[in-house]
Amino acid sequence: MHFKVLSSPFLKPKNNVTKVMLHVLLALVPALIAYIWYFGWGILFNLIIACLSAILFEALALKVQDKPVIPALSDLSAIVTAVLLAFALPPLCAWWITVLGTGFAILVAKHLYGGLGYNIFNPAMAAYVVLLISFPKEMVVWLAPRGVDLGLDSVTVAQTLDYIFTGTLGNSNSLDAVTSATPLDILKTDLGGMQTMQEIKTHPLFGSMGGHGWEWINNWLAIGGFYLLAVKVIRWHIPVAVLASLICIATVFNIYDPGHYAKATFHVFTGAAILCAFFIATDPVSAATSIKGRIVYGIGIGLLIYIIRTWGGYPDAIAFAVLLMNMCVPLIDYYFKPVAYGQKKAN
Amino acid sequence: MDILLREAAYQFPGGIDLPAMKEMSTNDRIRTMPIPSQLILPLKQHAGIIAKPIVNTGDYVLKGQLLAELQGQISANIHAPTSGHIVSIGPYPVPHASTQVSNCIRLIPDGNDVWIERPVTARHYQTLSNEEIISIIRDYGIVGLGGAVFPTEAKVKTSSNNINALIINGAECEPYISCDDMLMREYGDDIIEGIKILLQLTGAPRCIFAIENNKPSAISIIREALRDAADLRIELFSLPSLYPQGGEKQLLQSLTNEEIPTNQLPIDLGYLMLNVGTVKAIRDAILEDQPLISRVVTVTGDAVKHPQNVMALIGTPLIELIEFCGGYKNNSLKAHQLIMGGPLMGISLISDAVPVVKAMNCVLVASPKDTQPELEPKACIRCGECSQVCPASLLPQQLYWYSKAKNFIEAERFNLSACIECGACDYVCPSHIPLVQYFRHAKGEIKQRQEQKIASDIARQRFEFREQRLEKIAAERAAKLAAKKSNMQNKAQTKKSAIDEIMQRAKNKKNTEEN
Repeated sequence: MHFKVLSSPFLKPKNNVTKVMLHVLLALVPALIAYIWYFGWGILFNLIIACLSAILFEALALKVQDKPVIPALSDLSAIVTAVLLAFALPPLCAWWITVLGTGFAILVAKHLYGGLGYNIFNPAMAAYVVLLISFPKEMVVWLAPRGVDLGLDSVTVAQTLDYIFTGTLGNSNSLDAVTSATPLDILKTDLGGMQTMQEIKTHPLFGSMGGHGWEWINNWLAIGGFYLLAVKVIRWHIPVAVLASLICIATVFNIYDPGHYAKATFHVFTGAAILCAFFIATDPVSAATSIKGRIVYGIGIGLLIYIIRTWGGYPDAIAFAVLLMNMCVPLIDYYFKPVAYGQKKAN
Repeated sequence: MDILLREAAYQFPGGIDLPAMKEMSTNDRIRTMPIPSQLILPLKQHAGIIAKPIVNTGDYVLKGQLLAELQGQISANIHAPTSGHIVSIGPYPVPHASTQVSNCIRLIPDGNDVWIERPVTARHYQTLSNEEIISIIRDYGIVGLGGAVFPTEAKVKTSSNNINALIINGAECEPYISCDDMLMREYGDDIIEGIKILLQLTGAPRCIFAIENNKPSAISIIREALRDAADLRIELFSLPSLYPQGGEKQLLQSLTNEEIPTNQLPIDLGYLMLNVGTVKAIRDAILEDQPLISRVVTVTGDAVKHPQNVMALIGTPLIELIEFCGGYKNNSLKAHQLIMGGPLMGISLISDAVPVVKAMNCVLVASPKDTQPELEPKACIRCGECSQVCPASLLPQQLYWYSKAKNFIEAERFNLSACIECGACDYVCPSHIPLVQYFRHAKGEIKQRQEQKIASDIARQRFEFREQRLEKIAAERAAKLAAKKSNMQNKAQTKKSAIDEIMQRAKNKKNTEEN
């Protein structure tokens, strides 16, 4: 009997890219539900628009390059990018902003750089920054979380859809009647207005640890992150480095002057620090490679988040921190190589 | 006296947890296969120089008779596994990583299984000198039976002094393979005896016997054998089941936390490591005068009817070995691959006509249930799982970029040569990139380039020498010519002056006569 001659190893692999991406999507589900609970259905509509346009843009990019469409689409990486972008967008967000952002993420940040595996920047974060800089007004339409009474009108599902597709809330509601600042906005503006932390913290938007509502979304994100750790889709080095460095620097400044610098818990449980630590900074394509390199990369992101939040021009800093560290990856990879077997210097 | 079972104190980096798949072949005892219809004996079954046949077609040979002689320092003898006639010496399909056909001696057994006359029936190794032991190991064709088939003589010869420890490798970490497990279960006492011979030979103060903890029966039998042997120099260690625990470098790291520096060998650190099968073969050679003519082979996989371990003669065609194990299964999932060794580091065989060789620890008759090579590779997502599992602490994904781009200088800078080709990175890759294939190819290219460089250096040197030589010859010739010329001129001068003198004399004479 004759057989085919092949090259080892032959064992059936247990893993594939689609599985990895599915795990990531699954890990985001609880946080998505919490998000909808606190901020309404907006995110779900954004998510659907982002996913559909991601599929279209990905197919288009592959077609233009004469690459097979179905295998690349089935790896779900475009969907993950779309979902992460939807998590970053405000719940009331015009459809064309979502489409534009997804288009930038897939076409420019991903495919112009050579497609999956070659992109230097995290596509979702690159797109978010482009939107934030280009449409600053549209990117801050945040709502007050459920359970917080700021004297604002509540937004119905129909109004959300109306806003997404026509840019108005219908009826007579003006945008100002429903939108609210985020806790990080308040921190930034009020600290600038010479209020102390203690005074700011009495604002109804603040919860026990971070922002009201945000802290629960973040808890669910953290649980999703632990799930990813458990199924080994991500390793502990980046999340721990991001959060530990953020906590360290925040604690140092908080001890130095508690009146002007928020506590570490506030920095962790408000805004997108946890989303960043578990889901964004861990994007393998744009992160550093070696274990040491990943720790350095994570520490860089954690410190930058704090620096930009505290002294920079934007309330949250995840996207900038991640993109800045993305740029450092080649350098980090160059300097932090593991010592290969047999290369250790003899004592 | 109770024998301590200790756990390895350290761990090598990386590694993967794999399904053992060994149960299916460990239900029965090792069965000895009857003499097959023919035996095919490749002249190169070992690492090193090919052996030279010393018999001719048509010769009648006896069991244990030397058929092919080792050549040079690193090589091994090949003996007749049974008595019979040599029918041909020539190319035949062989199980080998890089060649599919190689010179073999074909022997048709006469069925009488007559031994060649052997010098002694029972020997006491205590009375033998080191030289005698080493010469028996050499003469009887002993090679490493763990898979590398390095001639054992070359390994033990260099190690007769300064040995910290003898390490016996019973890890057997690759899935499906169970020949060492079964050997330990059934020949525990023999293996211990072999260790005692090696301790005497090397003068090592201690021996570490290491077995993976997924072989509890083997561990308890070896423990029993050690209790009986009451030799305090031998220590028993259990290792976590983690692929590639049985790799020479990984095992040493797990036991001693020491790394073998690049371009050095375990022996340079004072360790001599041998596989349990090799130890048994050494013992049989020394105490029973038996050359290496048979070995235990695991015949396993989803596509063979009765997976089991077989004591088979070297040279047995695989088709007969598989037939002995019930043959191929006839259900829907048929054999789609034949592998020598395990599913991670094994060699894919082209046909079942190839013979059992000294390196063959396992024949994996694989159905699509067992193996699934050749998946469509996708783009690398740089997830880094490959570097998490790499036992050599490499960055396989970087090596992949460089190998793919044929940037071999960078690949070397990222220590490609430290790769042991264990396949762990390949197995965990979610994009199913054939990493090891890329690495093998890059290593081959690098080696070829180095060889080319050496060859061109030699050629250039030779050219320069030739030029120099020619110049020298030309110079010598010119010098000779000049010397000759001046010589001749001198001679001519002398002649002329002699004539002049004679003329002068004649003239003088004439003058005097005239006066």
